[in-house]
Amino acid sequence: MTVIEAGPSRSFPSHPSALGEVRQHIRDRASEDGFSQSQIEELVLAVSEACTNAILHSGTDRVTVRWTVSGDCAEIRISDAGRFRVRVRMPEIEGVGGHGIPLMTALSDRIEITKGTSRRPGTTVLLVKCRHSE
Amino acid sequence: MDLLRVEPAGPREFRLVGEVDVSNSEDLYRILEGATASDGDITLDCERLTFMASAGLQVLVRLARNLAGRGDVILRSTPAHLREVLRLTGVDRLANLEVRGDPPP
Repeated sequence: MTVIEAGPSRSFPSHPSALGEVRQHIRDRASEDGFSQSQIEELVLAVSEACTNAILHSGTDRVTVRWTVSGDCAEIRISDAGRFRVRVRMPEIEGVGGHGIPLMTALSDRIEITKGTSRRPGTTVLLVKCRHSE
Repeated sequence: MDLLRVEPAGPREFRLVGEVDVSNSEDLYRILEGATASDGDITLDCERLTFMASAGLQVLVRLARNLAGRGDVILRSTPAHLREVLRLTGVDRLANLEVRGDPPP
């Protein structure tokens, strides 16, 4: 797998087989930056879900994960070059699925989604997780 | 499936070793689906399950639905991180899914 190092950003192929490597990257960064074991598990799951959405829905071939720390909080930006196409699912109609965004919300202190559109492609999901929040 | 190994651990019992995400959740479902064709509980030993994404939770829900009225899906030695996700998503409230945290005897 080709991994492009660009400061705090890492780029991964937009393919489900890259998810294991994304999670290892987050585990490494979060433990280096002093997050507790349970916070690391939560961060890993939140970022994995965000990358899964990008991989399944954005229609682009790379997803970029940028990890920065601001004060007590990690800010993780998951970006693709595509259009935001996650739908609002109705479990009554479509059965199981659509847990990703609610999970990311529950596991993070703050979440922001900047949607890529056909005129302005490029979706970024920002997940903020703070060390003191436990 | 690089990330995940599914080991037979007894009659209607499987040990999950590794990580479940969207890259292998369908394979996992196919492996376990057969066991839900006949009546009775199925047990998944989760002691060495290090990660489960929402795609993996969907597998648990589908297995439990397959077995509804005929048996339970029992998660054994469920690690704390997984118990938390099952609680957050409400999957642990499925009538025929039982989450056990205790280590095997």
